[in-house]
This record gives sequence, structure tokens and C-alpha cells, in this order.
Amino acid sequence: MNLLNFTEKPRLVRQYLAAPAVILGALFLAPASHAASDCSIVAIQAMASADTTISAADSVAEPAPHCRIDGYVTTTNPGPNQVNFRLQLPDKNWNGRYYFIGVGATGGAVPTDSQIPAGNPILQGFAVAGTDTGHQSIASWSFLAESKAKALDHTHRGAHVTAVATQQITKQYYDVDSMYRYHSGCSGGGRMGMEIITRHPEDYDGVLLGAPGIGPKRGAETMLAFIYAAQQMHREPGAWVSPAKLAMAENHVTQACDALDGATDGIIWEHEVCSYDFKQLQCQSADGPDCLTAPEIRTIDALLRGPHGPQGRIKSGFPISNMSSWSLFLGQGAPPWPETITRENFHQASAGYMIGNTLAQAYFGKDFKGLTDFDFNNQEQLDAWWAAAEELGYGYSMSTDISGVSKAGGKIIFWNGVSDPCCIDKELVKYYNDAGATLGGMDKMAAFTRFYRIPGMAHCGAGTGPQDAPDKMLNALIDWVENGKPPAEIVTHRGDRAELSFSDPDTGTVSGVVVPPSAGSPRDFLLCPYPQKSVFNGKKGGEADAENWSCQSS
Amino acid sequence: MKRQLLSTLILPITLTTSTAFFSAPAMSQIEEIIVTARKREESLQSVPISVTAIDTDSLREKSIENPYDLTLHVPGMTVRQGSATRTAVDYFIRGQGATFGSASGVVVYYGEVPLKGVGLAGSNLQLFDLESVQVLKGPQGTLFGRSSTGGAVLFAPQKPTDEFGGYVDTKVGNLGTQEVSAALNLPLWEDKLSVRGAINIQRRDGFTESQSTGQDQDDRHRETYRLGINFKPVEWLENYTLLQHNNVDEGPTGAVLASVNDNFALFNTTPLQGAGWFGIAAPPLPFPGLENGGLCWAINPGNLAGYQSCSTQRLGLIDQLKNDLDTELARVEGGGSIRKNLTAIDGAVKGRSQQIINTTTIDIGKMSFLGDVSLKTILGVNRITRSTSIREFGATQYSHGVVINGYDLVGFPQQIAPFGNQKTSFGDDFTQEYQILGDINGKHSWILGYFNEEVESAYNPPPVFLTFNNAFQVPIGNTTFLFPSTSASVNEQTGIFGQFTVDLSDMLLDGLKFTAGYRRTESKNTQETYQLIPGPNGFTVGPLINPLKFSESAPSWTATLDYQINPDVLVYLAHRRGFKPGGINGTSAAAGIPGSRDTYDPETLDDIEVGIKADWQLGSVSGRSNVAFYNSWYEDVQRSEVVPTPSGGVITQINNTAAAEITGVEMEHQFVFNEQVQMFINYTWTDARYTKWPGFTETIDGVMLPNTKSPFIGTPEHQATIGVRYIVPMDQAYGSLSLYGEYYRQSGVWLDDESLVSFPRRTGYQESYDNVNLRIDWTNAMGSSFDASLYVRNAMDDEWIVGSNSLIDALGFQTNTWNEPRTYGLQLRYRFGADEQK
Repeated sequence: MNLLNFTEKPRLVRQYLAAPAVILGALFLAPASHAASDCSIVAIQAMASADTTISAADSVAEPAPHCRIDGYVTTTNPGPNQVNFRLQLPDKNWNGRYYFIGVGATGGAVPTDSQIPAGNPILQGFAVAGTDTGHQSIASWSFLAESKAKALDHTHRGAHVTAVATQQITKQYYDVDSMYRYHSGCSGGGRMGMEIITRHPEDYDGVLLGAPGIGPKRGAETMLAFIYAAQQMHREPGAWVSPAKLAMAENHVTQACDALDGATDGIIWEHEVCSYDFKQLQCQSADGPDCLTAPEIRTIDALLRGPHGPQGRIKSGFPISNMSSWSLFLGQGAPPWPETITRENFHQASAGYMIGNTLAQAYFGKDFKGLTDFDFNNQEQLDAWWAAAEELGYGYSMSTDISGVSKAGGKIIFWNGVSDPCCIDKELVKYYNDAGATLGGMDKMAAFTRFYRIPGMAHCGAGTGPQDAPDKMLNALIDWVENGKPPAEIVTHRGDRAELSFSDPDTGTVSGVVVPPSAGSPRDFLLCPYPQKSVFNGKKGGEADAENWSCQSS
Repeated sequence: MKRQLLSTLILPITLTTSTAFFSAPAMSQIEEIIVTARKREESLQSVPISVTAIDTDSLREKSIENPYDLTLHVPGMTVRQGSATRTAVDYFIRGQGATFGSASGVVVYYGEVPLKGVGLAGSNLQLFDLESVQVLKGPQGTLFGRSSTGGAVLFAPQKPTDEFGGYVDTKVGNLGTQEVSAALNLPLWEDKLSVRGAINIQRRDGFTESQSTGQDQDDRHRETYRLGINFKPVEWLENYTLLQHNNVDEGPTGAVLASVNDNFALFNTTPLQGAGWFGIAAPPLPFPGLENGGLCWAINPGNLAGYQSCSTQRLGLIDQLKNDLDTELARVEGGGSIRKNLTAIDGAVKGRSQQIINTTTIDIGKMSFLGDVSLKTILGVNRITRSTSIREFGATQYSHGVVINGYDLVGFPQQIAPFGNQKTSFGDDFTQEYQILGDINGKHSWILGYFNEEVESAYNPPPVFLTFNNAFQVPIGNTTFLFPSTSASVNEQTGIFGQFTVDLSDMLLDGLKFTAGYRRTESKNTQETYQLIPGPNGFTVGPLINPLKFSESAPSWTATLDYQINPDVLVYLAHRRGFKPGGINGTSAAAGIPGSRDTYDPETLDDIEVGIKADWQLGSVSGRSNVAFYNSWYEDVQRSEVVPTPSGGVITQINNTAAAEITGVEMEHQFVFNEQVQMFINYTWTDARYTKWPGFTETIDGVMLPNTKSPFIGTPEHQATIGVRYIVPMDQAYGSLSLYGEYYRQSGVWLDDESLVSFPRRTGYQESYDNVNLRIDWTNAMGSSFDASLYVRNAMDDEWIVGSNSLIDALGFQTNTWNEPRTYGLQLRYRFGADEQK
């Protein structure tokens, strides 16, 4: 395998920005010596175990010539349930790597492209697999209450059995005994990563795990937080805060807190140290685009504080940085919101609430309406939430024991957007520290894990942070797994400096992008492994270049 | 109510005819018309089939210029514009036309050879130098093959005769009309070899003006050349060859905006609300199944500024388009001229086609009990050497509904360019028919036949369809093919048929005859669809993506009892079965979904018809009355249906789901009052209704309506024409002067297959309308060989629609094509040789 260290070659890459994908393609190129087998249902079925059914095997030209295999694993006890998967095996230049796509939210559809990093890894020679996690509910947890088998398969079993099945086929297809196996996902895909490292550590050699949305109880707090936010939107007339008002507020906050981290670069690197009194922005007379009404200020304060119950904090509040990214979870349009799950309604209403409420319904019954029926001051109801989570086997306390990965020789990179209002970075930090404690020390943790907090990044992307952070972290993970080079600082980029690994070499475009790009002029971001911090050297006008930043222990 | 009306209309006539033949044998002054409805020459009045025949003189005297004019003169027929050009003629007889994407229910024959639905030779047929036009009503499946559930239209060009003669016929009129028809008949070898050449050249300005481009639409610029050669070397052998060349090079058909669908999803660009905004500007969502962002997201996946400016620009294009549609609709609804429209680019229709027909008749002579036997072969080939069109639906000055056919795309952004290889050759389109005909003692007759048709089509560029002001094109100035595939197909139809007529006079009743016929038609279709790969130098044909094969076999039959009460009166009772072929459900073929079908079956039409044909005399008035009453049972009708899939989705397929019943009366009456005054009255009553059509259609307002509420297309309930000719008494030395006027009225008619989706709006509905045509003919002017005529067509300049473009669901608007406005002019004809004697 050839060496994959992009971080050492930024200039080279930048120089050829006109055709960045061509360069990336050349760097990734690892001529395959493995003879590909027949791409037919019969041939592939012969490579599979008895629980695996191949329903299609076709030679497909796009995005790169490959054998596209559709099939399912039948799970039993509880079961039977059908866990669908797709496996894409490149015809030429297989790079000896297997990539499993972690899927966000509730799963429910077999992915066609990698979500995070975006694009199709097959363009770089990966064998690519993905699953619907054993159900077909779009953006809904309703299936959890309908079938124990589906609940279990979604939680962890489905991804495990399809990984086993597709890895077996891949090895036989290329006639190899071993290969490098990677898993990458964010949000729901990060949650899948959490299940892997705690329950199936032997499945992968490297796991890139972003924003899993873990809370103090290491369970389904995120969905409770969405219900809480929606209740705040309905708390009083005028409580909803529009995307335009949030953008206005973000500007004020950024101006106030930008310099606290030592660099006036439009990025609040540490949202914990920023506090802002929104009463400064209160409208003096009538409502206007440049001020906040009293109900709006009350809403912002409530969201920053986060949901609390009789026994205290349920989950951290939204980070104060990049407030305009809150809209995905507050509703881009004002209430009342439509309730049916459609793409259009997910844009208009609070996507977070719509999906969160389906979990409440899975826990409490189909007619439950989190907006009006859930009382955060009622401890009995909170207890019932956790009891239901445990009963259904989904959304309850995740283990902090990840020693299995260490034993299996695997590597993990955790990451989280600093400004993610869904899946709060502070809480992943806490999990990281707790897992270290379970292992018996952070030095043991550092032997096989890293954690990067991504400045300016909202939920799995967007915001004003780097755009190619997942791509760069994946490269670092591969380098660690295959070349034993532990990740350290990682240079990432925004704007047209960004180098997206899975872009189409012919067109430069990236398929299957699910998160909008970050906003702002082209620049670098130096990412440092937690607990190190990225520190600017103060060079005037040098904020955009990684060479003016360094990783320092705090 | 309807029944009552029927009886009042029928009774007096039947009584009159009875009186006529019982009181005095009719001395008809109405000339005999020969028809070929049963593939042999017979008198119109003795054929037990409902036929309207218009001979060459009538075509001229009634100013019948184009197929649309037949609506006025053929009871039971309507003609609509079949697609976005007037040259695509869609005949409806007894409720059967080319609806819902099916083949036409009416077959068109030209010189005994069936014409295809496409091809300029047929659909753009110029009505000149014809011997006759015959319209056969009801299923004609036995002798005329499949897809004749409604009937058949037979155009017969003039054959060469043994006498020298000919004419030059010119027309000048308003709209810059200039037309010349001429024929020259030359006997080259007495009684053995004769040739006839005929030409028709038409020039006329358009009558629809584009307000945006200024283009004159609906003009005419066409030429047709014919050469007929008849060779009769010996008494028992006759060989007739017809060569025809057609050329069309004119502007497009003008369509005029009629309605705009304000609920059309893609027109709504309101952020977070409208499908237009979602289609263009929506960002993605990190939820599987809901992740897809709009177009601007897809083309700027890593570029926020590009995504935003793209959204602003493209949403602006849609708003611009919608505003334009609204403005134009306000103009039309405010009483603005329907002779004006809006177009985005200059359109054109260019076509060139050639046709060769050869018929050979061999008289074998008497063959024992088979009687006098003759053989006939009919061969036809057709080729298209040019066929391109750029046309649009006339609704807006921005590209939205521009259809470009026959062009390749080159460069990048891709732009249209001539496609070099669109010619077909004679061997690609070939029909052959062999008949053995027998006549036993002039009483019984029989026919056996074999028919074969093979049409091959090669790869052609798919249509280019410009829509939504290019808001969804990438880049914006780019043009793309409507679908990325091209097909080559071979369609073969083979029919074996037989029919006999037995004279039962000696066995049962004098004048009683029984006719029975049967045909088995086999259809084989092969279609191979290939991926089409656009490129800067034009498209190339990629790998095979979908091979389809389809074959079916279906019967059709006829059984008729006719009774010649006396030489002037025939009554008959007929039953027939006709069918339209089945086909392939491309979309659901491999789905394996319960209820889905790979293919669908033929749809059938059975009818029972009773008719009377009578020549009669009442006092000094002689007349002819032909009346037919029929009921048709239309079963297994092919309609699309929605089938749910196990995973919660749906597929759409065609299935034999619907049924309908059509009842009607058609009557033609001719009256000759005296040497000066002649009159005719035609009347049709049609009642067509669906008896079964499962499922619902969602209207553009979101209301679910049962499919059975769908209006029946092309079937006005009442149609009537009255025509009067007055021959001015004058000295024959000055020639003969006749005045002719006709008045037509019909009740409302639906012309849009998809009108149900816009209920309660009545898109594609033409209210009851009337039409007046006038003509003065001065024949043998001043005793010369010149004829002079003045004509006014559509004298009251009435306006009615002849076609409706069903786009309200697909593009958010609907346009109509209107009739020709008032035209008037002077026609001058010079006859020579044998034609001089007419």
C-alpha cells in the first residue's frame, strides 16, 4: 500500500486546484493485483453465508466501473427480519480497503454514497458497503415499537451482520485473506460507530466517529432536547426565532466573542468561554430585523440553558457559536408546523422535533404528542422515558468500555462540531474522558483513539468551519491503521481550499452531499487532538493559513 | 329525452321511404357512387355497411381542402389535431380515435395501402386529384386489419384513364393564398398504357402571429407530385403504379394559451413552501430518504456562494415564466385575439417523403365452382428523406414547452444541430397484400387475402424539450434530450382473412344475402433501446439497455344479413368485432409486483348495426336516405392504472381495465327537388359513456374524481349539416352557374384526453359551434373550358378549437389550436381533352 499523507502535500494539491480530483486520484491510486470474480447473482451468492441472500449483482459503469450487489441478511431470534445492504466492488484498482457507510438519523434507506465524508469512496478504489439497518421507516423511529427484531437490528445487530456478510463477499471476490476495514459516519452514523466500538470491536480496523449525540445518560437525550426546543417555540406567541434573526444574533455574538480565543478570525473556537447578554439586542419599540423581541430573547436563553428536569440538567444547551445553524432544529418556518414526514415538511418544521416526536411515540404510543404531552417538570414522565428506552433496547445508556477495540488492534477517531446544536461537543468530550477512565487512563486511550473538536462546524458540517475535516481525518485514520503513524495535527480547509476525497475526478463534483458546505472565505484550520488546542501566533492577517497556528497543550 | 328525439328524427324518414318504394319505383336522379368498402367495386347503395363517399366533384363543390373539413360532411366523424402540429390528423369515428396514447381506432388508406400514424405522406395528405374519399364506419377489422375499431378512411387518387385530358386549377385568395393543382392524363399506347401526372403547390400566409418573435404561424408551403402509370398489356392483366413525392417546408402550428394551473407545484418558488423552491434551492437534509437538496445544491455541492447565486438566478427564471403566463392568460381571457400567441423561438416543420404503390390485377377466368376468379396484389413502400420540426405550445415567450424533433445536439453547452442520418429507405416501410377474389354467377362472392406490413425504424435522436425557462438546465444555456436513450424497432403485422357473401334468394327470400368474414392478425414487435451518449460532436449510440419483444394474435370478424327489398331499398343487420393491439408495459415489466403485468391485451369493440339505404321518389322530389343505427360494446379498454407495491410505493401501468358503450344514429339525406334545387341534410346523434373505469384521478385542485367521470373524447352528441345547391337557370351557351351554401352545427366536444385532471375547469372543451361555407361555381364560363368559382370558407369567421394540448398536469398550462379563420378567394380552372367534356 502506498503512503497516504495528504497533510504533507497541501501546496502540491493547491497548485492543481483546477483538477484537484485528478491529483487525489493519483495519490490514492493503488494498482490492484487482485483478480475480480464474476459479477453475477450466482457467483456472489456462492461467496455468501446461508443467512445472506443476493437479490442483484450488476456491472455498473458509474461513478466508476464496479459490481453493484444488492442483498439482505435474514436475522433471527428475534426475527426473522430482513436487513438490506448494498456492496459496491470496483472492477479495477481496488485499493485493498473496505468502507462501511454509517447512516444518519434513523437509517431506513440503503445509502448510495458515503454521507460523511461526502461522495462515493468507490471513486478512490474502496469497496463500499451500506445498510438500511433493517427497516424502511424514513426519518421515524416508529419501527422500534413495531418489531423487536427491527429495534435490535437498527440498534446494532443489522449493521454488524451486514458488515460480516459484505466483508466476507469482498474478500472472496478479490480472493484475499485480509483487507483494511473502515467505518465512517456522523450523527446517527456516529451512533452506529459507538455501537461498533462498544459491541462489535472486531468488525473494523478503523472507525471515524462524528457527533454521535451522546448525552449525560449516554442515551436518547438528543431527542428529548429536540422536544424541549419545540416546546420553547410554542411557549408563547412570537417565541419562534426566524433564521434571519438567528443570523443577526450570530453576527453580534461573533463580534463580541471572536477575539477571546486569540484570533479575530470570525470563529468562536471555544464557545464555553463566550457569554452574551441578548438583552442588548432587545427591540426598543416595534419588532425589526435588527433586534430581538422579549419572547425571542427568552427562547434563546432557554435554548442556551438546555432542557432541565426536577433532578437537574437533562442535556447541555445549544452552543452559542454559529447560532444560525439552530434553524434545522427550531423550524425554518414559524409554527404551527405540518406533522407528516416529508422532505418539504422537514424543511418547514423543526426536523429535530419531527424525528424526536417519533421516538416519543415509539416509547409512549402512537398518539403521543411531545409538544403538548411531555412535561419536563414531571420526573415520573422522565423516568418513564428512560424505562421505555431500556425496554425497547434503543436510546439507553451506552457503555464506556471500548477496550475491545484496543484488544482487536483497531483505531478510533472521534470528532464533533464545536457549534453543533444537535450533538453537543462538550458531551462527547465527557464521554471520551469517561471512556479513558474506564480504560484506566488517558494514555491508554491515546494509544488507539483521537478526538478532534472542529471549530465553526455545525451538525456534521456547515457553519463556518472547515469543509474537508472528515476527509482529512479519514486520511489520518488510514495512515494510522496501515502505516502505524498516529494522527497529530491535521490541516483542514474551507472554501475552494477544501480537498474532498471522494469527488468525481472528471467533474470535480461530489455526490450524495447531505450537509451544506461551510460558509466563508477560503482558509485553513489547524485541528489539534484533544486536549490540545489550536493557537494562533498573532501574525497580522495570517489567520487563514495553517502555518500560523500550532497545537498546544492547555 | 334522447330516445324521443331519436324517434322523431327517424320515423318520418322511414315512413317516407316506405311510401316511396311502395307507391312508385324510384327513378333516382342521384347518380350512382361506386365504393370499395368490401375490396371490390360496388354501388354505395348496395353495400350493407355505413359508408360516406365523396367523389371528386363533391370535393370541389364543397370546398373540401383538408381532412378537418370532413367533419362537416361525414356524419359520425370528427377530426382533431393529434399532436402539436395540424399535420397530425386524428380521426374519430363513433367515438374511436387515438386517445390516451393508443393507436388510432381509424385506419387511413391511400391508394389501397394503409398509412402509418406518422409520416408526411399520410397525415399531411393533400386532397387534390382524388377519385373519391370514402369513410367506412364501425369496425372494419376483417378486410382492413387491426386498429379499425372506429372505421376506415380511404383516399383514392385518380387513376390514369385511356383518354387524353387534364386540367389546371388555380386558387388565389386572402391570407396570400396561392394554390395550383394540375393533372395531365396521357394515353401512350391505346388501351394498354396510360400515365397521369398531377401536382399540387400550396402557398398561404399564416393566421397566427407570435407577439414575441413576430413569426407567422399556420402558414402553408407544400408541394405534392404524383405520377400514375397504368399498364394493361393484355385483357386479363392490369398493373398500376403510383409514385408520389411530398414536400413540406413551413412554419409551425400556432397554439394559444387557454389556462394556467396556479396550483402547479413547480411554479411555486416561495422559500420552504413551493416545489419550485425545493426543486431548485432546497439545501440537503441529513436524514436518509429525505436528503436530496435542490438542483443548485446538486451542482454546487461544495460551494455556498455558487449555490446561493444559482438559486437566485434560477428561481428568477421560474418567476419570470409564471408572470408571462399570467399576463398572456389575462390577455386571452380579456378577449384578446386567439390569432395571436407567444413563442420562444422560431418554429418550423420540414418534411419530405416518397411513396410507391403498385397494384396488379390478374383475371384468371372461370374456375369451376369457385366462379370467376381474379388475383390482386398490392405493394406499398414509403420512405422519409427529411423530417424535422421545431414547434411549441404557444403559451409564453420563454422556453416552456418547446419541442424539437429530428435534431442532434453538439458542443457544450449543447445546442441543436442538423442530424445527418434521419433518412429511411423504401425497404424500411413495406406493405404487401394478396387477394384472391371470386364471383359466382354474379350472385355469390368471396375473397381470401394475406396482408403483411413491416416497419423498421432506426436510431433517431430523441426529442429535445425545452421547459421552465431553462431553470433546470445545466448550464442554463444547455439543451438536453428528453430521455437518454434511442430505440430501433421492427413492427410486423400479418393478417389472413376471408369473407364471403351468399345470395339466399333461391333458398330463403328473394334479395336476402348473408356475408361472413374472419381475420386473424398477428403482431410482432421488437424494440431495442440503447443508451444514448451525448457528446460535443453529436450523440453516439451506447450499450443496449432494454430489449423488448412482443407478439400477439387476435381475431376480428363480421357477419351481415342484408335484404334488398327492391332495387332501391336495402336494409341490413350487421355484427362486427374489431380490436386495437395490446402492448408492453415497459416500466413494470421486471418489477414482479403482484398485480403488475408485463404486457397488456388487445382492447375490443363489438357492434350491432341496423341500416337502411333507400333511393326514393316523393312526388317530384327524388331523394336518397341512408340511415344507420348502432350500438358498440367497447371492452377491455386500455387505460393506465396505479398498482401499489409491497414497499408502499406505486407503479403505473397500462391494463385492460375500462369498458364503454357507444350508441348512435347517423343519417344522410339527399333531395333533388328539381333541376335547380338540390339539398342534403346529415345528422348524427352519439351517446358514448364509460360503463367501467376503476380508479380515481386527482385533479389539479387535489380532488379525487372517479375515472368514470372522464368525458368521452371526440364525440359531440349532435352533429348536423344542411347544404343547398341552386343551379341558376340560364342559357347553356354561357355556361352553368350554381350557388352553394352549407350550414353545420354540432354540440360541445371534448378534445383533451386529460381534461378530468382540471375539472371543474373545462380544458379542451369546445362549446357548441356552427359554421357556414359558401360557393359560387360558374362552369364552362361563356361556353369555354374555363370554370370560375368564388368561395368563402367559414363565412361568419366563427372560432372553435380543433386541438387541445394536455399539458396542465405536466407543464402547468394548457393551450388550444384554433380552426382556420374565414378564407375566401377565386378559383379558376381550365380543362382540356376528355376533361373538357365535364
